[in-house]
Amino acid sequence: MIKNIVKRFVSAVIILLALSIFVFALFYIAPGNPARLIAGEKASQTVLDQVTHNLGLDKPLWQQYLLFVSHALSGNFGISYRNQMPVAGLIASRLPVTFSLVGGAVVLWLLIGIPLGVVSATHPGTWKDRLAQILSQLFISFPSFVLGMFLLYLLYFLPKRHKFTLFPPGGYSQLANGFAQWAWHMTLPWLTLALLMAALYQRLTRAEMMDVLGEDYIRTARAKGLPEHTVIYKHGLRSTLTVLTTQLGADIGSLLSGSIIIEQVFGLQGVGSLAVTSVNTQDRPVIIGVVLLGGFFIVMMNLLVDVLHVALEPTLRK
Amino acid sequence: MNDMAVHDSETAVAASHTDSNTDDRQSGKRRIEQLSTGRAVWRRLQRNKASMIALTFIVLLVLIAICAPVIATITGHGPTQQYRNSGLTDNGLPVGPNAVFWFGADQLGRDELVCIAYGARVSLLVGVVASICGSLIAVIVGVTAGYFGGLIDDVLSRITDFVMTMPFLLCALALVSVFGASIQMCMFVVVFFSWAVTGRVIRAQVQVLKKKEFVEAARSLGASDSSIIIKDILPNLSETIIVYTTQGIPSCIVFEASLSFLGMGVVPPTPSWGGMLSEAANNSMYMVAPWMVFFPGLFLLMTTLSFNILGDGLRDALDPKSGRRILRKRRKKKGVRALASVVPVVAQISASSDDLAALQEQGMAVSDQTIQKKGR
Repeated sequence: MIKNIVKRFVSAVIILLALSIFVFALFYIAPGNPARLIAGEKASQTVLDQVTHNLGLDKPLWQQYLLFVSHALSGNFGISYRNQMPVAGLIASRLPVTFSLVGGAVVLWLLIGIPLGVVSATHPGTWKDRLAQILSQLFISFPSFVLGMFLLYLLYFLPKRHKFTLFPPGGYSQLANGFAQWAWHMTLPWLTLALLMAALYQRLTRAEMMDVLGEDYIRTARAKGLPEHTVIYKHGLRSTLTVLTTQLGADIGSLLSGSIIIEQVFGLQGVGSLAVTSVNTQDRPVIIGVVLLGGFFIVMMNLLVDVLHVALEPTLRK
Repeated sequence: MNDMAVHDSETAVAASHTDSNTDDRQSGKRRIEQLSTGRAVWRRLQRNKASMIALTFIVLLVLIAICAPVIATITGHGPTQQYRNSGLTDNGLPVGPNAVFWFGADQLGRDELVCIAYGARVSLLVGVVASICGSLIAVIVGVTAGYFGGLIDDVLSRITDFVMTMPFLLCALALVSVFGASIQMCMFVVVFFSWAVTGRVIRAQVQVLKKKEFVEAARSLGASDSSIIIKDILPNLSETIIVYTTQGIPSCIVFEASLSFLGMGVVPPTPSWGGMLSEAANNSMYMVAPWMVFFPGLFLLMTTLSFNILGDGLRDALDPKSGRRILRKRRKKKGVRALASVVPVVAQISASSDDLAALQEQGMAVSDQTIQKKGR
């Protein structure tokens, strides 16, 4: 088993390396001279050469890449072209916002999605199941920005017009300023993300539970007289954990870099909005840093899920 | 999946007890008729009301997209023309829905209805074309990897894994920032990130199919690899391909709209739904002009919803063993091990359970069941 995990780890590292080559090559073949961007439009040729040299852009590509990788390993992702700050620090300053967004939403969507899925699976064909299915179909189809804007209009603007502030329009309040303020500011983004994801989890839980509830050991559990909720929650839900954790790991990993749109709609200054700003300003070191960080999160979450599976799935323990 | 079905001929016999109409029942005759697969599927689909409503909406939307110039002529408004006198109030704010501007106007005085009609062209074009291209790549990669196995499989599977682990929205932004936003670029990005899941599913299916007796029979008759792939394997993949292409369309549409929303997709002034929504979001314009979000948002939602419902309906119609039909059975016979599968990827993977068991030994199965949803 340890051998398996080591194998996974190696493949994770290879994927990250491939990703770094991908972004690096992308920006090397990109038109436009970054030195010109920093030095300004009117800079003379000597200044331009100086800047090019300082950035190491006159070296051959493979040297630039090796230099970049060796720096990256020690946590140095270069300096932002735009505001001359270290990329690592810039990203780190944005992480709390993104973590708050994803962390809160995860709790919320699990709390909505899984119980709805269980209810659906234990009452197949009834109105409860139908309703849950229709809702999940609806929210699975909702584009995130449309839902975000609808919610903002309904829960912020309409109350506001009647001189009543139900929720703030967006922005981020630091956790240091008090938990209530923080949660209040994050409620709408959480709700948006959670509704979208809960729909998926309702479907997953339902499909898995329906599968499990037909198994022999569930019949045995019922036959020996266990109360129904023990059968469902202890024996039934237990076996859906494998699928749910797999999906959850993948979702958290991709959301940590991919909640770009929700951050944009609610004006949250997270990693995603950093990516958008740096794309708009052609700030290449920051884009490379964010893409690598995104890949890192995804790969690490997948790895974590694999390790978790060994703990959850006795058949994998050998 | 359908071991015996489509293999060689395009026809399948549907016994009358599944597809009999009331006339037959009244006259007491049990007529056996032969239905082509297409007609059988169409009949089953017709019985699914939600799918038919979804299909109606899609047909309507296609008509709107085709007739966009007609709509522009009827309203008398061009798609990019700005009507600063009639479309804006004296304060410079857009006017709401009225007799002249049916869906209201935007902040520059353009007609929302006409923009939506032209935006439908972009959405449908990107959605359908990108989804078909994505499926094409998925089939090529999946069949090659699954059929030939060995080193080719290793390399192709690693590439698929790589594309699946890429943070797709970020990479899409990086790609667009380098090559500049355009509709072609947008299409390329959407295709690039949308084939991997389907490719993996097809690979798993091919791995199961190639061990089947009919493939062995074909090979023993001296059929070449290409003949086996084209005549024996591909027809058996047709259901998967149809279902995944249909279900890929909404995610491609949302992906395009997301890119346009971030200003990295279709370049204004070409109208696109994502672009319209992004204009509405700018300076919270939609707070004073909610129709700027409501109509494009509604159209976008209805489109993705319709394609999703149609995709689900098609899956049920193409594979009557799965989905809702089982549910009906289960109510009568409790305890039957459910084949029910609501989420497509899980469904397709679990269908090839022999293959899954083989994968599990290598500790690979876990990430196979992951479903990726685009555009978050």
